[in-house]
Amino acid sequence: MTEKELEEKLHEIARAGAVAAARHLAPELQPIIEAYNAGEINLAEARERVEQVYAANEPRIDLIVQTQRRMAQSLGQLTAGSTPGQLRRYPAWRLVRVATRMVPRVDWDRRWVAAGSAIGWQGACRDDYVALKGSPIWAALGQGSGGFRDAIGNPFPPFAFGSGMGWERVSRDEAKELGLVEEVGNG
Amino acid sequence: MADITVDISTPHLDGVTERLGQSARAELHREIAAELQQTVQDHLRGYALSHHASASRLGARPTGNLENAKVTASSGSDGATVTVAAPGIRRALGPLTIKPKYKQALTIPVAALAYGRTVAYLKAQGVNVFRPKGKNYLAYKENPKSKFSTVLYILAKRATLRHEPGLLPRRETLAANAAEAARDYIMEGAA
Repeated sequence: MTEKELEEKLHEIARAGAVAAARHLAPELQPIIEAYNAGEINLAEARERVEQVYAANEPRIDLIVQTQRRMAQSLGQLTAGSTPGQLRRYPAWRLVRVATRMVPRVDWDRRWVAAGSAIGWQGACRDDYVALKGSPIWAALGQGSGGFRDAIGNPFPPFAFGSGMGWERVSRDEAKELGLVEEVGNG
Repeated sequence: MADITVDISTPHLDGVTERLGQSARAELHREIAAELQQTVQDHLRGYALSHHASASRLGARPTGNLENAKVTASSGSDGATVTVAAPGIRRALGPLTIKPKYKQALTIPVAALAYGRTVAYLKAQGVNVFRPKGKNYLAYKENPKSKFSTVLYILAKRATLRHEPGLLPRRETLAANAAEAARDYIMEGAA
């Protein structure tokens, strides 16, 4: 991915976040806009009511914004991790917890097995959450293989809404020990 | 954003890069930038996971500011830059004084209910946040008839966050990782 493509993708992610937040708030914002347009309330009142709507929906907007930030961050990681040198030295990713959660998901084993089975474990470990950077297991995880409906649809973390999982680099030596590098050369 | 310059030049490396053409120098710098971007990101996440002191002390949910920090890299034939954007990241370079931008005072959370939440949000949730007369804090009463209130936020005109050099990787680590990426490029990538 070129820097220009990355920038476009990041803008796309930001736009999607703004649209998602706006769509969520639209039913509550619309009457305020209509009341202002009809002259029933002045600008200061409209502002105050809009602020109240945002405040009341803070956790939901937080979730949307945090998810978008995590997606943008992972995309940056994906790009940085895909240079020839990085692919040579760190050919694989490990799925790890990178952010604490009050109530962490406990179904990552099932998600991993379902995604691995769906792609015939191509470039992926069965016993560890490790797979080559180019393994289709990442896309399968993002698509919610196995029927996980909270999947976001991207081949990079956070994979599911509100998830605290992310990628850690796996060195060539470790990837060799896990039998991944011999499988498809440079990864 | 925090700016730290890491000089990895040595007479030997300088000699090698001088012999490289412009395009090869750009590739070399791209590899170094990619390495440092990930070194910084990995460090921030590790730091965040092990330093949720404020949230843990209050029994609250961490804000996620550090683990979600935006770390980007750019590079060219002249050099490479890694940029870190996260609230309060400048604490890595020295004490950081913060002041309110749009409000009269900073609201510093001192209760789990308030941590990572705005006053407006709590009010929208029906929490009757009030400022006792003559006091520099905001509080609420769980039972409106009670004479006891719980302090939620301390109000401050400014606050100074202490210097946290551990927020970013040590210069030696950055220099060693950059040098390793350069060595790999010269030995393997440019071959």
